[in-house]
Amino acid sequence: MASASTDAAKVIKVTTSDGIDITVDRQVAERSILIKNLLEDLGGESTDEPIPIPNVNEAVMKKVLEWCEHHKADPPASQDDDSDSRKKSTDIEEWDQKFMQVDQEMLFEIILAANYLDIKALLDVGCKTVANMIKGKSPDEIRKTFNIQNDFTPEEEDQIRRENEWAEDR
Amino acid sequence: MASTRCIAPRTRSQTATCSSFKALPNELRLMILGDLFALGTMTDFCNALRVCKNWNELGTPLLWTNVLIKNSNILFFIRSITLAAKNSERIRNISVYIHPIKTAYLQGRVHSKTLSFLRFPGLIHESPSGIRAWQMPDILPNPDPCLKLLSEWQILESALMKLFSLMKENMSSLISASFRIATHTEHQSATPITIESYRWNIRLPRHTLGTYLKSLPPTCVNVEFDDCGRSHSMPHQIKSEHVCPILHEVIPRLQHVQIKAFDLCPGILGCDYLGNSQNGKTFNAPQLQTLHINLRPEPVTRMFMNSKRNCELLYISEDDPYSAIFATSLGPTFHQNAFAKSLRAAYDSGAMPKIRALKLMNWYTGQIHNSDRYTYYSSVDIIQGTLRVVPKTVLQVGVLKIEPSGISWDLADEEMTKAEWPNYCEYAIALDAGKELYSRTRDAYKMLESAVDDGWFTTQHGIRLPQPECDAEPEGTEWYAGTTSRSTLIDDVNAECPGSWVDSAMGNIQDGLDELHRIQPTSVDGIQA
Repeated sequence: MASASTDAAKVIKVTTSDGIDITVDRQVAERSILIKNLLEDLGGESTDEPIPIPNVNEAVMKKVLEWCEHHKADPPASQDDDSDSRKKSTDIEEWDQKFMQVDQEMLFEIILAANYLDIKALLDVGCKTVANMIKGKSPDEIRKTFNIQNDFTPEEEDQIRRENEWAEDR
Repeated sequence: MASTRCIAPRTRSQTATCSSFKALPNELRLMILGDLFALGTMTDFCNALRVCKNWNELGTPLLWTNVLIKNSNILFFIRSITLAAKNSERIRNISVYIHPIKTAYLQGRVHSKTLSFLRFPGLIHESPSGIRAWQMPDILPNPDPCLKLLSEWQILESALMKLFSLMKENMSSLISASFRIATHTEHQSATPITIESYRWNIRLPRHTLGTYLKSLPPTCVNVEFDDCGRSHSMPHQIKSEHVCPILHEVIPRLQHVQIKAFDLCPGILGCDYLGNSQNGKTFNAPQLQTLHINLRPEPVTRMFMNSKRNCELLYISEDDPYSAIFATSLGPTFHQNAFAKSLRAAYDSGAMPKIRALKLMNWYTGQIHNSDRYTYYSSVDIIQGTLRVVPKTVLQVGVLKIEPSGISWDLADEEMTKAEWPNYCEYAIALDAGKELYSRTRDAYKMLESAVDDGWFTTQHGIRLPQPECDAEPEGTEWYAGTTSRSTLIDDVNAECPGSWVDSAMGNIQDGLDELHRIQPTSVDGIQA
């Protein structure tokens, strides 16, 4: 970071899909690789122009930025071995668990936003939260939880059960 | 990578209605299913595959890429392939792990020769005499229709043969295959039972191994097998069942090989135990990168070696003086030395240009350095020409006392019940420099073995794969009870042996060979045509 422009670049503005401008610390916003790359493309020059985020509305953006604020000091995820680091941490840390205690709509909005904004660690926490919601449920319970239509005939479903029966724990 | 992200703006219909699973692109759904696969049980994952067609299509490849076959699922797996062969084309790695388990059935209720936990609907039926007996499932060919009473082991044997034929015919993407029989039973109670107690009951016909090797599809380049010293030749079929000629045939196209078996011939790499090439034929294994051989008589150690028939299995002629030597306690040493010589000769001949690990391990019961008699491993690094012996003292049963003042170790007192042992430990391996390695299970043997030399590792899902080249700990690896990681395990076992324990393998091999030359054996291997 060039010291001369540090002060000027400290805060930035983003415009959400519903047209709201949010002011945020640049360090916090740069948890998003999308925003970070955009700012870098602007050549590090401070700009008063808000960055448009056409895929994320205000409520979700605020929630995402809350997460970014809490994790602003985390070491940045390396670009290459993201798949490795994803698998290594099987547990969700306590703060993140609490953070993810939101209604289902918000949960999926956060996942989509994290994906769009390219915040790997948040995407990871979101996906694991959904995976944990699937755990311990029967196919029918899973369908009810996520409002998914069963498009199998009973015969097809039974065929799949028999095909995969070998893999079940016993 | 940007290409894996969904960056296209969502359409109005997606943003307008309430976000749900349906709003996620397939990439993210797959990510969630991947997390479920890693975090949940296999039943959780199988349930998810039945939710809807989309989930099924996304998740099915995950389920079938790495396949672990055990006693409990082998028959279900065979039925599955019978129902839908297409799934087997997805399999990249298959690991077969058979572990006999003692149950109440062993008390004679079903059959004395049981391994149990072979599960399938209708496997047990009531015969007219009121005895419960095993029923051959329809999906398997009956080995002998005349048999009135089947043993569970026979059903397993037939299932393995069927599995291998499916491997050959259907698994067209297979890369790695592992077939192992457990050293010890996996028992729920506090007292594990060694298979050794049932060694004469639990046997695998030798041709099972040969069939396994012959059934590897051409795509498969990594192979492991561990017969746990319990594959046996049927009477009068000794020569035809010998596995070494098949190995000799298969190894040239393989990259990573680990073999744990007792009756292997020096010469599988084309050189005999004197270091001469076989019949002047050239042997080349251009792709071979690692070869780990474990001459494991365990747990059938002494009995096996004293049996004339088993010596014949190894060394064709019963007049062969080599067989005679083998039957003595010196046998394992000679076997190892001759083997090491043949491997080194193959290495020196340049037949394996890509080789980076060539190791030979042997299990002994004997006396070293005037200490008590005990069992130990010796491991020869053929490329480096070094020999390691571990552990340095007795592998024993005892009590581990964990107190504020420190950890102490006592030999087990037979009067003591386990309830009185707050922190008991069933096995300990005492090493030099005050280092000790503890295990609460009889896996101590396996733990030690893997510390000495294990060219393959086990993933979180039980899949066996060759160790990667780097020293870094492979991801998702499980370690035996009492240890945290391979690196600490190596530390515990003191991989850097003091000088007195690292002898020159070459000198050792030469000693053995001098003795062999003196007695001038005529024919010692099973490969010669």
